[in-house]
Amino acid sequence: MQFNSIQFIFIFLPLFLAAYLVFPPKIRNVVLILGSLVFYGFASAGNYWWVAVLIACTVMTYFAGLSLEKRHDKDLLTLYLALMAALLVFFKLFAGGRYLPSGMSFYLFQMAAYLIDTYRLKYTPERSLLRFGAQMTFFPKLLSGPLMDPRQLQLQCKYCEPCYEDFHKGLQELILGLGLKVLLANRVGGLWSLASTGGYETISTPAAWMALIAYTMQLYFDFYGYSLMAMGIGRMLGFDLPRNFDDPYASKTVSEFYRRWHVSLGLWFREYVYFPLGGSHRSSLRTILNLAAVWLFTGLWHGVGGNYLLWAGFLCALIICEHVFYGKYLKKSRVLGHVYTVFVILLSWVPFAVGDSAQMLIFLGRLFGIGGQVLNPQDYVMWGMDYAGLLAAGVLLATPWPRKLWERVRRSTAADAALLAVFWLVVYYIATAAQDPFLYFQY
Amino acid sequence: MKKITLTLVCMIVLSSVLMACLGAYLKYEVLEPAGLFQGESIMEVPFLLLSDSGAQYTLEYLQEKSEETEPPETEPPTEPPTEPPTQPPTEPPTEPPVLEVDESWFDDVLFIGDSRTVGLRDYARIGNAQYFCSVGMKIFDTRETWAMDKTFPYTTLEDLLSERTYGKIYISLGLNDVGYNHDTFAEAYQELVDVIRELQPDAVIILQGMMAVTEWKNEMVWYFGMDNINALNERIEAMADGDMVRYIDVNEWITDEDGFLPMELSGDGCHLYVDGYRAWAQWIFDTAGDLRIP
Repeated sequence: MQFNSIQFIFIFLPLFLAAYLVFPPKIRNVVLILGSLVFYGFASAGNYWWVAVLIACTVMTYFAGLSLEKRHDKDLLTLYLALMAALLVFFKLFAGGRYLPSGMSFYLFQMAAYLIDTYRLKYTPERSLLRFGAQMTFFPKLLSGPLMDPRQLQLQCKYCEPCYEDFHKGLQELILGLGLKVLLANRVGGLWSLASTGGYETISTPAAWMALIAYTMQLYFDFYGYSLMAMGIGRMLGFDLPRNFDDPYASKTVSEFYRRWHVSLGLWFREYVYFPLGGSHRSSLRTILNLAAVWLFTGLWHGVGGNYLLWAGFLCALIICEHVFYGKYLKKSRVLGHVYTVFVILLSWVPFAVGDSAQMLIFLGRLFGIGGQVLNPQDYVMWGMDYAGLLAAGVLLATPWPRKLWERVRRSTAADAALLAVFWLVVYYIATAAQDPFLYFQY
Repeated sequence: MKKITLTLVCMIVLSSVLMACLGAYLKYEVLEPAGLFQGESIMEVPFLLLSDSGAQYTLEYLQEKSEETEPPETEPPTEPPTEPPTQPPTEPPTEPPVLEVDESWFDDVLFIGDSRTVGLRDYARIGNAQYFCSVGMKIFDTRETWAMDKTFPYTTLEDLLSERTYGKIYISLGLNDVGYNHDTFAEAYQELVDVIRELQPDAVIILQGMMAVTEWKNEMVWYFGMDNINALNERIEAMADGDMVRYIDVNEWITDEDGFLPMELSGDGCHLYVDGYRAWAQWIFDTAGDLRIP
């Protein structure tokens, strides 16, 4: 079950909210756990053993945390982390694709963070299995984050108190997130499918750029929208989940981009990989090696394919170059930094979008007008007719201005009325797209 | 503050309740007799009906039917009547084509079709032929669909046909409508053919049977199954009179021995790779002579 499904919006969420708000705060954690497990059961698409894996991981991490408190032993922590890593690698490599439990890399990372911080004596580990279970299985962030600082999560779970103001703001965020995902990401993705179906060698250079921009927007608004929904649902329940995207496309350097893109994952790698290796406080060479290590892990985290390593390698090389050579000039520049960042980030998504290396070369060739046999040099005009509105909306929404404007007007009744319209438009698109066997396909 | 805070929540809850009532009414009172959308939730039904010209058409069709016939019962015509196929309008392939066709034969050709024809347009144009096609085009809303080609600006089919004159009009449609009741399908298809004939009385209309799907696609959803597609193709074929309305079927040539689109021609089971579009266009070109249309 995804957030953007009729079942979630009209059945699960209302029932869950009613139970959550009606039952006394004392048993809220029980409601949370049950709700999360039901949610995960639906998300498993029939693989109900995923729920068992989640429960097993949660219970084991709970006891591991307690044992680390009793015995402050680095070897013990290493053992636990190695077990988690082995589990994740096992599922990624061997279960693969359909059988990899959804959200596993997220919840295992959350649990790893919990154990490491327990070892670092940042807090006393959770005594109550119920409260711990509620934190780890918390459904808004279960499938795709955001990852949270374990201390924050613990405090919020203990002291959170839903209120009307938050509920309203959360609902607004949920609808905005739905809008970004359903009305923008899913639809603009159609342009990328269009480019893929005919074969990359046949599209013109402007069309190739248009398709790459569409892919970039799909990726961004899909994940940004999802994160907003997670944050909104969390807020409706009285939680304050961190913002995962901080207008990344307004960055002036690639390193800044990745401080603002999937923020919670970046923080995780900084906290638990980069800093322990020494961060940037040792020699320049060491800093470079540390960055390379972080990016190697980041690449592997996204997937085991060579294309993810290529993606990570490319970005890592850029970040190192910025660090050593030209980063400071970009930061001072007014326009150049933005142009540079958007350009290289667009290019960096190519290995993400096109996994196969031969096809990737063909597509890169088309981007720069090399090779290929263009069949219709006017293809971008036809696509432009259909997608100009969505692309323009995407560009606008990638800037910080709409969000700033929204902050100023969001308390008005007009804003609520607009969101009501967005909500039903979203439902319209979900309902009619569900008829379509492929989300992005029509014949 | 609290008043404002509650507004959005109230509006969402209230409108959801209303929508659920509307959906339940539509689903159980209006659509159940037509057998439409019975597998969908009541929240989806109003939107599905709104977006689905085929369903609206079916409702109107059934209403007219029930007014015409005495018993208000709706007929459940799931299977097409098994009438023996009328004379095949295409000549047997053994006979040599009477007409040598060159590219100029396509100067007054218009292709009308869905995304597969878009593939023809983008990857395998024939001579100066013109292409009125759009992804997702249905027989139910072909007349209202807007499309453009390098040979004409954005326009609707009716406007295009009123402004220009064509000698031959190829139609390749139906794959976006395979889920409907076969009678409704045939009725709407016939209506479209009639409108085109009215606007272009001198043009020969060449109906193309729907191209097959791959074996994998065949098993995915029932309505993309070859049984369904073949049955509907028979209905299309029955509309041809062998004179001003012809029928051709690329499946005789393109399918494998089991009657499916070969896997190596299509990535998604339905759309062709560029080479596939070129082969299809070549087939259209090669068989044009068989039609014996000057």
